[in-house]
Amino acid sequence: MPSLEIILVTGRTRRQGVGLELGKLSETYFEATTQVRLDPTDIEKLGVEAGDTVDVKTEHGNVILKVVVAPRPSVGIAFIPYGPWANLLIGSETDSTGMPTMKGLKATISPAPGKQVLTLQELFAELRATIS
Amino acid sequence: MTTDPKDTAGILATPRARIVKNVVCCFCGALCDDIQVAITLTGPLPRVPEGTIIEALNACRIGHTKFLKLRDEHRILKPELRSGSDKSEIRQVSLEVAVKEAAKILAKAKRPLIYGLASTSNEANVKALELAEVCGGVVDNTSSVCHGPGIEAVQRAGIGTATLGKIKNYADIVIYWGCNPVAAHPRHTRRYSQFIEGMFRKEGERKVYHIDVRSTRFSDEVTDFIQVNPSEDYELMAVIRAMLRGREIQRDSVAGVSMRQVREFVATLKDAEFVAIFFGLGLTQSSGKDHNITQAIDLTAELNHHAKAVIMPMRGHFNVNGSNHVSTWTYGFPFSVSLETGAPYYMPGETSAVDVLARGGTDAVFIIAADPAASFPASAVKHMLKVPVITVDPKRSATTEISDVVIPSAYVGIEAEGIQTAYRMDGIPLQLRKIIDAPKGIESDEHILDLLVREVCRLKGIKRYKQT
Ligand code: SF4
Repeated sequence: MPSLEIILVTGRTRRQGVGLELGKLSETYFEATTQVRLDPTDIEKLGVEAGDTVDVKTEHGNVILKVVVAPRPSVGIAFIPYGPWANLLIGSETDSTGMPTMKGLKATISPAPGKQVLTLQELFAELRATIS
Repeated sequence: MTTDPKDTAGILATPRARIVKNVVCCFCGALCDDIQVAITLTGPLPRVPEGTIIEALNACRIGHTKFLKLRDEHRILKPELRSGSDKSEIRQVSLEVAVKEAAKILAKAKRPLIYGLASTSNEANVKALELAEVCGGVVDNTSSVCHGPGIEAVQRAGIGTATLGKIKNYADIVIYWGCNPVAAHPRHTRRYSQFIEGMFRKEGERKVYHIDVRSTRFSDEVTDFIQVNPSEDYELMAVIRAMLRGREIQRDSVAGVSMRQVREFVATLKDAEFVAIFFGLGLTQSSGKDHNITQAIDLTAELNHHAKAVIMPMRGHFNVNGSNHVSTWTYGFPFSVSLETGAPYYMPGETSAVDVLARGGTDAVFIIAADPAASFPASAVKHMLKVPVITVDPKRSATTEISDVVIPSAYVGIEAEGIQTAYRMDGIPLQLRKIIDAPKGIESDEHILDLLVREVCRLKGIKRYKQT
């Protein structure tokens, strides 16, 4: 299965902002925050299509997300809107600032055929399962 | 192009609606204060009850959603005690019972974490700090995960800034660095930079630059887009500083930007009269963090040898600036303050919410006007799953779903009673107003916090010294 080394950037989108105000449990927020935006050339390298699920991994964790074609060229960059899903990939080391590094992390992406994006409740259940 | 705010008087005034003008939009730090809100009167429109907001002219899409979707299915109308391993067993209770339960948790805790405060009023912030004091806890606001590193840089390097009005009237060069105003502050460019004429800046006289790691729709609208490699903003700023001092850099490119583009940009900066730099989380959340902002401030200082230059963070939550102000005028520190010894102690990296949670350093969490379960790294959220969590919020959020006690509150600047103020991103305080009634039984953040302080004081036998 092909996999791709990529730089991860998390951030705001307008739709995620609208989702914030509609409600964090709204369909809009879920759709807006469970996607990874990739350049078409990177999508091709992975052998997937828009709407397919991929597994995004960093040294801190992994998450299944839906592929969306980045509206602008962004070869080598994976953009994930802020939200509980993106946060599975972020570490809590803050370099004595209070702020975790949420942009510019090294990540690996691979296709995840047949895998589903977790719902918020499933995501919390998975986190609970890892608590000792 | 000049965009005049729309005046709804002729558009929306009907016998069935009243118009409230100059309402402040309480979503982002731009705090637009020209929203025209239409509210239904008696003799309601079909299926629309009296007192419903039916239009919010001038607001951007996000602000519009906030005004018009206050009362959808995600609104919480009754306090809840939640139990079960996944907190899915919900018992609706009165406000009194919920406050008692929350106070019991806080009074028992050795080191509670009180966090949030960016999407509420300064007045509620004052009460939250008092709650942290009587509990002997750690109090932090959301700036620790947005512009906190920028504040740390300001503590080191100072800051030369201005009001948004001054920038609108004077700036001939506006730089948006590491931010995407179209997504996060959609009216910022229309009100203060790109699409508005200033007193001394006519149409076409202003140049707008976007510097970021990826292009967005905004990049197409600006004079020039400069694409910098992720986490290399510091290098680019250092080179621009050196070139402003007359040094020639013998490279083909720096931080992924061609030297030709850098030279052109520096030449434009040298010719400028008034430069305004707005920076976003692209600088504070990537490698370098506070050092990136120190460099940006130093760049602004360097620019002041050539032109007037100012710098400002694009504050996210509508009153995150206010939470810094209130914390600073109370304790001398803008965020991440520990009060466990009875004296304020500030040490980001130790007393900041993410660090406190990631190290398991709290035994109860109180959240108001924020959603850390959606915005903190998973390893920090994990600790919230182990300890009791109390959340005060008007709507359901990721954090309400993992809370033991949920207390619904009124929307500040729309429904909340009393005097309410917020600080815009440039430090201008704006007064907020109640324009419609809150749902029955729903109180303001300030009132809920006051009830909690009283109850914690009663349980701990503390004599309250800040009576209001
Ligand atoms: S730019 Fe910000 S303050 Fe202005 S209307 Fe939009 S969300 Fe509200």
